[in-house]
Amino acid sequence: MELVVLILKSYLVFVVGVMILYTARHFIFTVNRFMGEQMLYYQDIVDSELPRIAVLIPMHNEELVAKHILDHLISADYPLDKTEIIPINDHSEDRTKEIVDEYAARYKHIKPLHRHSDRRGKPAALNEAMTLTDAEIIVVFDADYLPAKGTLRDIAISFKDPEIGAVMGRVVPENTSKNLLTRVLDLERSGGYQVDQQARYNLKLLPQYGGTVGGFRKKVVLDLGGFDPNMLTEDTELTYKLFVNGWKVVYANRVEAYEESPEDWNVRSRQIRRWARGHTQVMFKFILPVLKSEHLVMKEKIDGLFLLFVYSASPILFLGLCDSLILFFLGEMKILSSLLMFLFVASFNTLGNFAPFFQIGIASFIDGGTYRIRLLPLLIFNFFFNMLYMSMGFFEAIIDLITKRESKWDKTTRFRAKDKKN
Amino acid sequence: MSLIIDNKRNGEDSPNGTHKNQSPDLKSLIYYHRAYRKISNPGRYILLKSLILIAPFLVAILLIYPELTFIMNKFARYTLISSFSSDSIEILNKPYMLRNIYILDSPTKYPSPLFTYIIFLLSLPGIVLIRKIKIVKPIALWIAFLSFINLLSSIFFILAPALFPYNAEEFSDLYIKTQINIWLFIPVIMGIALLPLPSGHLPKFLVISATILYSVIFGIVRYGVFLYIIAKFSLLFMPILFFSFGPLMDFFYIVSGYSLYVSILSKKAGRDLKAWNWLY
Repeated sequence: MELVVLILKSYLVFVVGVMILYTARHFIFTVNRFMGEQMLYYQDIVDSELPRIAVLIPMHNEELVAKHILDHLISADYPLDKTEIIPINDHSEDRTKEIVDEYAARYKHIKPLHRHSDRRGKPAALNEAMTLTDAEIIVVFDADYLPAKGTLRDIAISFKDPEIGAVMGRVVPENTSKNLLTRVLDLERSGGYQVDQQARYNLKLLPQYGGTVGGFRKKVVLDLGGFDPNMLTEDTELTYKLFVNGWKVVYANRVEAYEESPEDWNVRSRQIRRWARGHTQVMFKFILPVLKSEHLVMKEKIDGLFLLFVYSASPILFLGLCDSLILFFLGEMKILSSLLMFLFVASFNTLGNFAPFFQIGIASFIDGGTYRIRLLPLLIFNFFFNMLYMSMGFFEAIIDLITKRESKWDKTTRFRAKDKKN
Repeated sequence: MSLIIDNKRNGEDSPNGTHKNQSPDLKSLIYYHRAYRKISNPGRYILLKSLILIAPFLVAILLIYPELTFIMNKFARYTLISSFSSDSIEILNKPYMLRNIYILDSPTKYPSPLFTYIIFLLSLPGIVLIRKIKIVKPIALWIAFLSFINLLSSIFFILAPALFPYNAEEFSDLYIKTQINIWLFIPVIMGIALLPLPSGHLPKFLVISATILYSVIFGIVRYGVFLYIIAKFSLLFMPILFFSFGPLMDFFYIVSGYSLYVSILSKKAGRDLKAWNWLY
């Protein structure tokens, strides 16, 4: 029994240690973004020799939003003779096909791809669409995004730098004021992009390609084997593929595109579960390549590992909570330092919500979100929610690894036009 | 490098607020874009300054924590004495860290088998049926978590009531030690979180002071309520009190105080050109 208690206590100490490390990492990011030297993106470079781009928009039952993104893209200021827009109708059963075909009939540079056979899902859809275009650069948007007029130019210009393999822009929710969930997600997005991504770019660590509002070199991605159709987070996979093979990913904080945040907790739960599952799949695939890569320096490897393990924090916390409950009923809490208990609980609020409260506070400060900062304490609502669904995603990824089962793509439900109809 | 075109600085403002020879719709001031704006670097001694901010609180708490625990127990005793005989409530002291702390030995109520079964049965729907009720998911999960702890506790009291490892004195000991650590933790975590913010030491000092003061009052009241619940209602509720309304709740007001202060600073900085730097 003593051994069991020792193991349980040791695990709690381990949890606290992990959380302290992550908190320290995020504190460094926060200070760097708030008062350190900022690395500017390439948006101020002007060049008439722009590369040919193909804008891929994976769509599965996107009738509520398809029209909006196409309207935004056709008004982009990128030269038409160098632009191809490929809406990928991926096994849709609603009016997506009709909407896309209607636009294709009106605009020559919109060339839809209708997929009715083969495997459904974003990675498979991107793989197929890439083979249909002769563009050098692939730009990707999810169907609910609303890119600004200059977004394509801003994304494409970074590829003038021959070291750049992929670029990622900033995601900004457009429906923030809808309800409590969208407001909380806005805070999380702010912390994730304004501080986390920009600080990693400043510090020359590993900014992440996020699979939307971004682009990559087609040849490089094809040479690296394209996207793995079994991966649920093809964006994270690409980030690591590029870095371990010597390519850079840059973050463009100035290149903002609006997205529709989930307005329903059930939709959000499925989304973060998929993210956690996909991210963990990538973790299993890339731990060794990151450690072995000759293209990464030590600080990049350390950051790469921190990023790979970020979704593991939730199951670690979840098991820690179970652990502390057992210790409580065994009467061991009175012996265990209560400081550890408090550190443990403090950790809940640190990583259970993707980012510590001070990181989100500073991000909102920089964004000028004076009033939304007051919603910070409400992140506590997300604590059990995120921990539970991220843990579920994590354990699903372990089952994926053991059983080698095929992952099924779960599309995020849209809300935008529903509201307009109502 | 500056992106600010400040006509007021050029001293050429016209009476209606527009620049001479300038169309009225042109902006007279272009603020830094949020993408790369930052605040001025506060200089080399930032860590030392933060230590200076935190240290007085740590010293003060280490000096007065025995007295604070005495006040806590006096309050708890006062709360309990209306319902229980004063002979059954005793303030004890024992060593902790540098000096002695005070804890309370008070009555506890063991749950009857009937009461335990009722709690067991009431906890089940909290876990199983909560999904069916139309309620915001995080709150539903919170209720499920509370129900789960109560379920575990009731199972424990059904199977092995005599083995429950805590009495009021031990719970008091656990609570008081946790509370002292929370008080020590507040200046550290607040000091770190407030460290990068563009404001003087005095306001930061006041924010930390206010948070600690709140924590002391909250900690004292909560202690009395917890001891009253386990004495008057049941010992069965001890786990739920500790895990759900214990240290996790302390984080709520710590973050609340922080967010309110950052919000005030953000409002001030919003239109203050001097508050912001560009890139370097």
